[in-house]
Amino acid sequence: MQLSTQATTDELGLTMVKRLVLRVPKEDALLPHQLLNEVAFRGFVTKNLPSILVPKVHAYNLTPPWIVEDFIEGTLLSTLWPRYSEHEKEAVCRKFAKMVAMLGETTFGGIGGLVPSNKNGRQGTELGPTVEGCKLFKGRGKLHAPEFYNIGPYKSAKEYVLAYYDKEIAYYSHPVTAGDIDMDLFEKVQVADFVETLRRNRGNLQRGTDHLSADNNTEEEPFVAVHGDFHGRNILMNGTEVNAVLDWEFAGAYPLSELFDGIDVVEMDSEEMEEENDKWNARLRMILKEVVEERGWGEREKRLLFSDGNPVLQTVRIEMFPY
Amino acid sequence: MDSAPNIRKNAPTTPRSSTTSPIPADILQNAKLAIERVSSAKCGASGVDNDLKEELELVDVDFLAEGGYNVVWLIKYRHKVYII
Repeated sequence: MQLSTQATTDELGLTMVKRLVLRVPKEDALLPHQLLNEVAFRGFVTKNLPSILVPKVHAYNLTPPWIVEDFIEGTLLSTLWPRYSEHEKEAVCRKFAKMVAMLGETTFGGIGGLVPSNKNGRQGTELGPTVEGCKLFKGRGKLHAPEFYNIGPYKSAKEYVLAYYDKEIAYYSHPVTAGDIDMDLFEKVQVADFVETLRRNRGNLQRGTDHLSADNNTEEEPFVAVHGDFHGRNILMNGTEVNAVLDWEFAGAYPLSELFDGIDVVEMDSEEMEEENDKWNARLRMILKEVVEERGWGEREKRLLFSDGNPVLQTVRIEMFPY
Repeated sequence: MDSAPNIRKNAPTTPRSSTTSPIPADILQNAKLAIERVSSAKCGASGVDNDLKEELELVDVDFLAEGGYNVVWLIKYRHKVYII
């Protein structure tokens, strides 16, 4: 009798207690997209970037929402980091730099999160709505649906930016979110006047008369895999080996210039830890430069990777204030 | 006033906390459902030999961690493979 990979001779006739993880989204999660994105992105990474280890999803459910995944042994990077020698920190940074480079080499045809797909009986993934923190805070998550604004996927960066304006216009106009608006922001400006300003800015951007759109070729950036929440509490280590990268719920396909903004390796709960993050983010940036050089990245891709981000996106992805 | 999320990170930064409260009934129910789902998926898997049977049974659920948008629970399950 040939044994499958799921059973070993030791297990035959034996009862073993094993462990799985049940991941339950909180009430303010962007459902179902946040859960679907987590499931689909992990499947995508497992298939296309197998050297980036992620816990395998065994099952998921939308109502009620949960994911069951492998329990991975390991210690959080943020816990281990202070115990590493300088040499070990260098080695770990090089591993992260390779991961970032691999994500940056993984391109998509648009901007979006991922959703599981089933085409002709073949399980896979396809672009779906984006899942972003800036689309859910202060009650904005209530409007994360196509009937309120285009939640993605987006064919171009311009379409993506316009949707951000539509989101804010909906947020400040719709009765559903009327109670969520921070009225401290509106001591000098009426909400209705601010909505008009948003409409005007959106119109300028759409027509290409906005100074931001004139300065930047937002259409031409490659869209690459971005983790979106890459830090020391989402990386499980075994010594200096990466056992798993967790929490892909905010991952997606985004412009290359949004890929890298450092990795906070430790909790920023003191000035000393903040300095440690700054020091090693600077070092990681240097190592990443070496890694993408070794991997043959072009000059344009390198410039985008190490830019300060796309100014158009930076304008719309933060809270838009009425002053 | 709350600060807007970091523009270069998709996930908002939210405080992490821990809990020692009892396991809610709905979590137990979800864990049972999850184990049933995983068990039936394993039984239907093509890689399992016809002469083998796998059984999964929920043993216990423990709080593991709380993140920004998830509460993570540890499911302990009894895994049995035997010849039929």
